[in-house]
Amino acid sequence: MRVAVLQCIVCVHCFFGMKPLVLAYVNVVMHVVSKTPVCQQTVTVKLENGLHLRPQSQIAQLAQQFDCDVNIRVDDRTVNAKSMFDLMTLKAAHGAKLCLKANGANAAEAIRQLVELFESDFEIDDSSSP
Amino acid sequence: MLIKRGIAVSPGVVTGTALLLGSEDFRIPRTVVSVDAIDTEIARFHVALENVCKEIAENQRQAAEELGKEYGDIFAAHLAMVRDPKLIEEIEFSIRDRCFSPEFATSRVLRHKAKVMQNLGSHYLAERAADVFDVEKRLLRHLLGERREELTQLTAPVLVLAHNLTPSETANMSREFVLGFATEVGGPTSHTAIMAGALEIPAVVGVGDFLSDVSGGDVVIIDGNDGQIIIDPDEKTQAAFRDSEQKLRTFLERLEGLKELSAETQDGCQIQILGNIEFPEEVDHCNARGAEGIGLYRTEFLYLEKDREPTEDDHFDAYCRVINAFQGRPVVIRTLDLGADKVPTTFRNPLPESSNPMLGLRSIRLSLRNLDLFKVQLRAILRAATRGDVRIMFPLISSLLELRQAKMILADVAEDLEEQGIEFQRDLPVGMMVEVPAAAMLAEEFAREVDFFSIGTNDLIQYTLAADRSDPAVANLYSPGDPSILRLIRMVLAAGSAYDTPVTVCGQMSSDPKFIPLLLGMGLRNLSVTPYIIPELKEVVRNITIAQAEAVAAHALTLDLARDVESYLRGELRKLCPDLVP
Repeated sequence: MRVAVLQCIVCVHCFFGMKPLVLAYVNVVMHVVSKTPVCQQTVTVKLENGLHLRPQSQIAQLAQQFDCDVNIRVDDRTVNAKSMFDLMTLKAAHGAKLCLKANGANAAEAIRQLVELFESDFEIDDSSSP
Repeated sequence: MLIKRGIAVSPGVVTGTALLLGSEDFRIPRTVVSVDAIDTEIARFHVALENVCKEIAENQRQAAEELGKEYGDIFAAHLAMVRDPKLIEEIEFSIRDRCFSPEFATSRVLRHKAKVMQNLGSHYLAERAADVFDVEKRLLRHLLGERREELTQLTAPVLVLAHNLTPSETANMSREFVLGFATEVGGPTSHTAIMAGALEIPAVVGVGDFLSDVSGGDVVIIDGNDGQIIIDPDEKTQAAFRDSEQKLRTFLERLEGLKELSAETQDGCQIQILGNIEFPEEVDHCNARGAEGIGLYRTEFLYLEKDREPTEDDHFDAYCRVINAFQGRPVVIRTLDLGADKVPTTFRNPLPESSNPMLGLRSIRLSLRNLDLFKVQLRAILRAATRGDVRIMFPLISSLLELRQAKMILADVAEDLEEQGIEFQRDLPVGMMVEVPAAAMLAEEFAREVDFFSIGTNDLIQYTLAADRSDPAVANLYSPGDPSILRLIRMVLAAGSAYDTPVTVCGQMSSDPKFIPLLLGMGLRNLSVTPYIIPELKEVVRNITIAQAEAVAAHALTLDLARDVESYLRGELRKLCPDLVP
């Protein structure tokens, strides 16, 4: 259990808003590069069948709600999390480690919600979202 | 540029824009937009996008409610696809920087994405390509909206690319705008092939999967000579094809010069060359090529063109058009030759599904089972026959009983017309197709009861060798040069000459120049062929003597293998007419 926090004025609410349980699983790196907040976190795919069509569309749908850039890196491949087509070509089987990275306005919130989605095993009901 | 190989079924080369059928029913009317229109076009794209999103969201809600959440999830994925910012950016870029129309840009970008998925080597992803096509279809439907063009309402020339063409699709399309066909499936005797031959446009069938590699509006070359299609050809390839098209045209123009000359061998024997037609419009093709009549008028299209059963007047009008165009020359009308599977169900008695349609209720068998349908056609033929030299022909006769039944019904119909005081032709010559091996074997018996024979080699070969030419696994067995076929033809010719019953060959065998010396040598004097080939066949006839032809036939009949027969005949043709052998 290792928690590394770089003090970040923009993202401070994110830090306090985050559930300690979630924090326990992951590395959180937040820092400020000039005025752009960057937020990064690693998650593990727990889904039996890997990241298939439904979770992919949930990720895209969620990421599309934020103005910041959201990327997902698996091994050495990085895709745009808002792009369903990118996500569809992502190979992420059960146990794969994904690095989520957001850059821009509300980056930390984007990451927080994405992590939550992964943690819930994609069971969060998304039918109410736009 | 992508080259795909298939089976050449109708010659010629054509370059044009693609119209895709099957996977999409849309034709993309234009591929580019003017620079001033770009902003409006992008706005139009966004409106369509927004409407598609609403529609998918509605589908998602419905599917989730009625079928369960996992079905709704499929549409959620589609929604995520159309909202993909990278996709939208790519399409916008294509419109802005390349001046592509939104329809064309959408189709191209999405098809490219589907292609990438299919090539990633994962079965799961390859299946997702179908989702991408679905999204493409939706977007195109919204983009084209009211402007969606149906196949029946074409306004500009296109090449029709399809998985397969159904008879009703081909029957209803605006023929003047269709420049060529290419299909994923089908063989040389498939409907598409016959249709292309009838329209005299290049066609390639049996190409295999290719529709996902092409977008509506793409430039495509259909090469009906070598059996290939070229998608998105580069400038060099296009130029090369323009060149060869020109050469072909020159050659055809030279042959055109033979039009007025008769088909007479060097030793003065007259050969009758008739045309095979499908539509009344084709009489012009036949006249232009110097056909001496119509040896086979297929009447199936009357049944396929309309949603309803053709009336007696529909038949009558079509027949009269052909007869009037061929005054004083013979016109052989063949009665309905369709399988139960092809006749529109609206006017067919419900029939049990046949496990083997080629051996099932089709052609004359279907007519004899549906007398109301059959009698309508017979009445029209008898009435139209007063206008010219008309003969009637029954297809797929396999037993004497069938022939006698068919003749009896014809007599019944004549009697009805007589009683009703309607003018009709008495003593109409009655002939039959010889396309079932049984009919060839009983040719002597049949010869006593018919006025003429017409050998339909396509079916005769298929039934004799038990090989479907459109099935690539056994297509090699299908050969007109097979010794068994030559023997059957010889039996029919012998019976014909013994009983003074004229014999014609109307299958594709007689449209192949290399078989002409053989057929003439075996005693055949009448050919009925695809109109475009008439000049070439005249060239062969005018270069040979009957004695030469007899020598060719005598030698060919000593060969054991179809392969040897065909290669021998090819060699002989090369000696006679070097120009005709590629």
